[in-house]
Amino acid sequence: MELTDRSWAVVALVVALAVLGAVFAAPVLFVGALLVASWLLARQYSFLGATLDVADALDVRQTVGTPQVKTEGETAVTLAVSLEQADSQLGHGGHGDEPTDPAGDSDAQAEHGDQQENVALERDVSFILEVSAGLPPVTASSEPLETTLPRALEEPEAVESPGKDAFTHEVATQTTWPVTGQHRFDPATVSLSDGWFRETFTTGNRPTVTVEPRGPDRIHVGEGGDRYGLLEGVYPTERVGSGVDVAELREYQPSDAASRIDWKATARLAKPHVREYEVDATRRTLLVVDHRDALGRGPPDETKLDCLRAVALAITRAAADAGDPLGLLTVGEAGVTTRHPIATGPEQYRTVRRVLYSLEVEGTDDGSRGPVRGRWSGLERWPALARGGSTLERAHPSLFEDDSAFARTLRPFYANRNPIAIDANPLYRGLRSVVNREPGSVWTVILTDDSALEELHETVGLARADDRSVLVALAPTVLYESGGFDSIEAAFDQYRTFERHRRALGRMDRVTALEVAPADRLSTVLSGGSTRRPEVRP
Amino acid sequence: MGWGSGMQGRVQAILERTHLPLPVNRRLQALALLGLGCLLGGSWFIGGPVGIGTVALSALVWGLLGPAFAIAAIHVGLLAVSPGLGDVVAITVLEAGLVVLVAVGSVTPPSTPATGRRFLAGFLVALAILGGVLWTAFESGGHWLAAATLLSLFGLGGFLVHRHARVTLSALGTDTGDGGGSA
Repeated sequence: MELTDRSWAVVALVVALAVLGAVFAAPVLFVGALLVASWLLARQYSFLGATLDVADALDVRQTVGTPQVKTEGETAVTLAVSLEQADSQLGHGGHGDEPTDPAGDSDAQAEHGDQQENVALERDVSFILEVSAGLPPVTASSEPLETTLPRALEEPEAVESPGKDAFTHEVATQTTWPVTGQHRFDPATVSLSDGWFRETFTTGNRPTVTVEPRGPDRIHVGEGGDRYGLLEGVYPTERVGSGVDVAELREYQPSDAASRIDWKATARLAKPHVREYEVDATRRTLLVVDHRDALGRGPPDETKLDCLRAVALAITRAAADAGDPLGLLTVGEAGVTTRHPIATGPEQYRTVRRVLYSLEVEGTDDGSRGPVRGRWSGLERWPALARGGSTLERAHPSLFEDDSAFARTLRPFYANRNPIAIDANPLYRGLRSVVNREPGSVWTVILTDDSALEELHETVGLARADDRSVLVALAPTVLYESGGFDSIEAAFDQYRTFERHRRALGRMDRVTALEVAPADRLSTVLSGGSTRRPEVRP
Repeated sequence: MGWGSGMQGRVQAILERTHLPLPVNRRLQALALLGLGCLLGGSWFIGGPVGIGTVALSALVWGLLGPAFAIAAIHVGLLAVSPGLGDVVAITVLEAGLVVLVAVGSVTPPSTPATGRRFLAGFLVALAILGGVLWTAFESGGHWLAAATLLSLFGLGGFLVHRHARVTLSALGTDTGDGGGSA
């Protein structure tokens, strides 16, 4: 509760009277100070009661026209203020400090009730109620979203609800949302003042607006041009445990607890049997999102990162719907940029979504664009990298300096390894930093492009260790070239090369490799090479 | 004008949760006249015609700045008129008249009954507590202790009401509904 200038003046008056009373040893000034102090405290108490009544009777709702908009999109926001009243009888407005006319004629006042009321109200300046919407700071609105009562109720839009003794007033404005992410409104701020005191409190609902990045309208996720039901259906656990659904009935083993014997089955089959149940199915998912320089390739709003982000968001939504634990690892040129251990709960999903929305292509720390991982460089370099001679020599100099039989025997096994190069790759290094911290069954979803396939192979190998499943969502560079295709046939050839490597990845145990691309571009490339398309298909 | 002012009146009524407006009945008029009489009588005995002039001046201050400044004006004025202020009975009558006028003013239109009742209750309670403590401090410690006690208690009272408002309003909570639109 704040004091207005008028109230501070009265406080100063009390202090002055009390001090003067002490200075001049005049008790009558103390009596004056006592009366004024009591008067101000009584006003404060009276204002408190009125404020609590208003808080009870007030209903404020903030409504968003479209809860999901694209970046820089617009949506209408409405602020509805409703005041309810228990009694149908309405009285005079005003406050108690107005000079009164004790000698006034009450009968005359009664005869001219309405007129008197209006006159009184014209003089009344008390109880101004201001309500302002709690728009998130990132929002740009065409005009402030606030209303002031009772002035607002003089406007034609004010609606008196029949039979409810409630008045509703709505104000609306158009808001622009330039920042991607989830933005939650603050509660509406209500400010009430009677001219002597001012009280501010918050009330009302808190809607959320999700601002999605402008991306491609249709994203293809699939294999060789065929769509893949990434999030469809349920996933079998293939494990037995203490769930609810029956998995199998098997004979009793001496190591089983006697309490697990299914006596009905035992009686029916004449041998002790134990019933096994499906373990409760929750899939622990780790999203590994690559947002290095190369992921920025593509037309505006249709970059590789935009498409992969959409896939990651879809997986996040599916995990949230199923209540599955979810973790996130994002990797930039310099290494890991975000690491959220696998966890469950609304806050975790919100955090993951927020990070995904805010993810941007990241170069190296020194501002350079980082190593060029441009189109097809990975595919072209694959055989060369596989040889990896010089790097290996740096990694294991002793192996090459040593001419012993042992070294000669080992050398061929290391010939196709490139440990230093792999270890220097942010994606591999990032995943390695979390893989040991997430024990147990983890479904790793790697979202990257095809510009560093050797690194990707090593990373997938790391991810699928310990019987873990891996999904690789690959953005084929050929489908993200800005502008049109120079040659559909050449693009098709490049796509076919990509497809060969994607299938190679997909042939690995427990690995699913999918392509992620704008659907129209993929269909263009596929139609361009339709005569050779059978070669693409497995 | 009519509809707008009527709405204002209704909003005012909603804001203050009023019930039937108190009629300015003859009992209140009688009380107000009694208060005025006490005020004038007390001031006459204290300062004579000059005392009456002080009351008239205070009435003007009441109209311009409100009762708080009028109360201050009347006390300072009477002290100036009659520095001795030896007549305790006259002073008591004058103060009683002031209290009655402030009380009647709080329950008289344009004030609403709910506001008036709260004000009256708060005024009388504050008067009793502050007055009792002030008297005790004055009797036991003199003027400066009385001044310090009065100001401390005044500040404490204001702070307690403020804290009560904060706690109560913060406990109202916020509706977590999404308020999503029709999209």
